[in-house]
Amino acid sequence: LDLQEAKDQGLIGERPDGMIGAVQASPEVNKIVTSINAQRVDAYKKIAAKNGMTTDQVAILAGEKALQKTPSGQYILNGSGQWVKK
Amino acid sequence: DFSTLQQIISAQVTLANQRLKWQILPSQLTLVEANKAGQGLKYLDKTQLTSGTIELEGAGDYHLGQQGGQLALSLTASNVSGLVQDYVLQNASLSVEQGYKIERNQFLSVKDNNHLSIDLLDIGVPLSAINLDFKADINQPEIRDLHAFVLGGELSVQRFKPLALGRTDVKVKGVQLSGLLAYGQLPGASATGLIDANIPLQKEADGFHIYNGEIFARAPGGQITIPDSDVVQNLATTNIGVEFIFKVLQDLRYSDLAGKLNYQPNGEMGIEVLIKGLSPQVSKTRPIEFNYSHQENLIQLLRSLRFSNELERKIEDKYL
Amino acid sequence: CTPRVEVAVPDKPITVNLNVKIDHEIRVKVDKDLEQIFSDDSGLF
Repeated sequence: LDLQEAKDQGLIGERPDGMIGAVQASPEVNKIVTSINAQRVDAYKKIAAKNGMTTDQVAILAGEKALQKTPSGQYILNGSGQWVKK
Repeated sequence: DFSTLQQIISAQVTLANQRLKWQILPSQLTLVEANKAGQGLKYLDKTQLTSGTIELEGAGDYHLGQQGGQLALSLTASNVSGLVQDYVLQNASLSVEQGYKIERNQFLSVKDNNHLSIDLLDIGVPLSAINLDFKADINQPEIRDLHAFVLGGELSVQRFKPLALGRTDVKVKGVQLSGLLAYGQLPGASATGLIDANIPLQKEADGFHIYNGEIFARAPGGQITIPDSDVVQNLATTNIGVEFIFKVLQDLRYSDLAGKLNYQPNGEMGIEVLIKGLSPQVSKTRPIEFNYSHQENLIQLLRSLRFSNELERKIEDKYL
Repeated sequence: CTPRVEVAVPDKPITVNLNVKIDHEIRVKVDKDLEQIFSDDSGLF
């Protein structure tokens, strides 16, 4: 199972804070979530350092982009903290 | 191609004993087709009009021998809406009344009354109920009177010649401080109080400048409340000593707010204000003197606001 | 008792300075960097 399949099967979704989250948790899903999020944080740190911003600020902008680019049918976390299909 | 336009505008021309008479037959043109037809034109390429009609009328005569005559033209456009480049336009109407006397082949303007009104023009910041009275003289256009509502307040300009060098005073009355604060996107932030401003717009060779525009809050002032939040914490961590400032801003009751605004042709804008008041949870007795300076490129700000407004519309359209 | 004139010393104002500079350029640059992360081949999206 990889990130793309997990997203297509509605197991993982994008969050406004630039991270992914488990829509339906399982050991395998959680492994993907932790690994991907760790890599994302590293990437955000590099971008933040390069542009004189904080990692959180980059993460918020990343979240905006992630939600926007998520294809319809996949899950996103809405304002009130529920997983909804885009 | 222009063919669709040509078919619609038809004119009657007669020539009798050296007198040329012509008349444009009153004709109506829906803008949506004209817009598509005009796609190739330089200014119309990024314009998508969704509604609007134009009516055109005109007449004139010219005596070949005397090389004289007169010409009258009237154009009215109504209910024009859509996107002009990336500016959202809602329900604009335009009326143009032009009259010329022709003497020895010289055109002398005898009538030049033109009025534009727009319900809403979103330049990033929404301008509403815009009324513009102007002279359409090509080499020296002049805005006789412009009035619009913005951020709950009013904007007005008189006798503004955009192409001429020199100064024009822009008056801003009663803009809500809360409207300005909203652009900071600080969660839960709110403010009360009305802002007036006298902005001397100076047109120089390199473009528009503003030197020491005056900004001031109306008596009795108001209140600024910026609650703590992760965004505020973020700002606090990146600047030393900002925690205390945000403690003041959690509840700042101001009696005075006054300052200066400067602007350069490239869009760089600088605002300096001194805010005087009390912040009860910081000190019940010692008054606060808050020097706030703000630097931002206004052109980039407006462009990014238009961009995010467009994003909002796309998101809203998706969930409609 | 002798009347005592009490001069209320006006409280010394607390002066606070805040300088904010908003740079819209950053948002454009960050946007480009983020585009890479959220492109198909990054494996992170």
